[in-house]
Amino acid sequence: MLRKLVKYDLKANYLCLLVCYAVYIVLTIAFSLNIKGIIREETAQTASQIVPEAVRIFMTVSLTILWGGSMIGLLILTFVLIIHRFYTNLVSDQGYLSLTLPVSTRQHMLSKLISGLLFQFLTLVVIVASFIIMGGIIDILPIVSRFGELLMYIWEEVTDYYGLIYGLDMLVGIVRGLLMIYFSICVGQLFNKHKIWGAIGTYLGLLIVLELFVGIAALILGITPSGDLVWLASLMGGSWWSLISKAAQAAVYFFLGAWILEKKANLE
Amino acid sequence: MTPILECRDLSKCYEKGQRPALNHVNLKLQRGRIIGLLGPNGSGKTTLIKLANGLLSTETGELLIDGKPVGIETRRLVSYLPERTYLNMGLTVMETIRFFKDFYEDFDEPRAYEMLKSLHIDPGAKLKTLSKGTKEKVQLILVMSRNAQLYILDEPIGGVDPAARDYILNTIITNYNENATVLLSTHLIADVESILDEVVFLRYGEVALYAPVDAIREENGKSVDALFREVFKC
Repeated sequence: MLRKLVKYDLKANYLCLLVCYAVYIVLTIAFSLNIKGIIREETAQTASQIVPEAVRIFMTVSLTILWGGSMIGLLILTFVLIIHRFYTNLVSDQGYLSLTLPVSTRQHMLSKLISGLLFQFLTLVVIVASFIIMGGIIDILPIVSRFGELLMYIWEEVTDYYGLIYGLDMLVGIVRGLLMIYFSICVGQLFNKHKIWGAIGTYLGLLIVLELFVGIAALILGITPSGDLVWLASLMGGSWWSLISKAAQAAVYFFLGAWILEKKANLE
Repeated sequence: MTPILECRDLSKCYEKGQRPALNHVNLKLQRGRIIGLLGPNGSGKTTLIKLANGLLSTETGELLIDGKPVGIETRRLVSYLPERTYLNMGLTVMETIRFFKDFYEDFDEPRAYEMLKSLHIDPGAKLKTLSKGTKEKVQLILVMSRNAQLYILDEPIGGVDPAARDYILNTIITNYNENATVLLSTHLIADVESILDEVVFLRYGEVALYAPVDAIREENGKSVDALFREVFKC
């Protein structure tokens, strides 16, 4: 049943995202071609003879804004679609069907988590691919690859210092983030009126409480007599303490969210 | 034989200090009947239906379907039609049928297509392009295409024209098997009276009457519709 749930969750959003990915890649190509024209002297001179300077500047600025905006928009859209799917499918009218299917609410939560993570991953892949395409068009692959090397160097330095735990911590952090949103929506639907505001309030409340708790705990646990940076690591993630804390939070959001849907469903 | 639906001292209150939506309801619905769940607005009909489908949780008392508390097992037995449109409007009728087939083992796909054909509904049409009445017909077709043990229909004829009502009622009669029970909530008593075996009158969250339709006619000398108007006179 979980496989079927995931299938329908993916199906609900994939078309919209595919169109957005395509638009973003087209914008990336247009932006890259424009930059290439500016960088190359010969093309720049030819262009200045054909197109007035003001128009070229306007085009470059527009394309830069469009491309940058579309990248940010793509990230936001992915997030919005994931949240929208959870909300419409489980706690609004479609919930009358979803919550009466012969599947457990834990399976519903898991399905939404898997599909949400997959969409986030896919968006990340598309954004990375867009940089590679850009590098290829502008002939700055060596620069991109140097930039990649630099990132790898930083990553290795960090993981050498903190170990593989840093990567794990990031992954669990993403899972926790998604489950925190799902959990907030589940709490929001308990309100008889203003369910969306209830969900937003719950999310913000959790964020504030968690930040305060993590900050205080990291300061208490992290500051050492030698004055090293363990406290900073605890605060920013990348420690066992952070990993366990995030995993525990994720588990609480998951099981409590599923329990609310099972026992306290409050559809209008 | 275990009743298909049983309420034992069932109560539900939405907000503290307010009148309960259901108040110590005791009820046993047997198999193989078409039962009308009748009552004025706010009498607790939809609350009872939601509880039977696990969309609300009980506060005190128990609600059992085939002797089991409401959960995954009972969802396999119950085919539920809510009073609102609950389908994903982005899907086509055909995709929605596939969805039901994927999740319900008892879903009879050929029967669904047969009913679509007789109502001239295009299986390739997107749900969002259909009229409200047609969407309701599609929902009813999906619900009645299951070989369920209990069909719970909340206002199935509320939003359709009189001609379609006859078709829907005929669909209900012809598509449920002898051992299944249909629990039907509606305000349009006169329209459904002819197909009902029993009625449950709910008033202020309590069972005011639970009796066979024939007995009502014999004892009171009036139709269910007339009795309803008398019992619930404003």
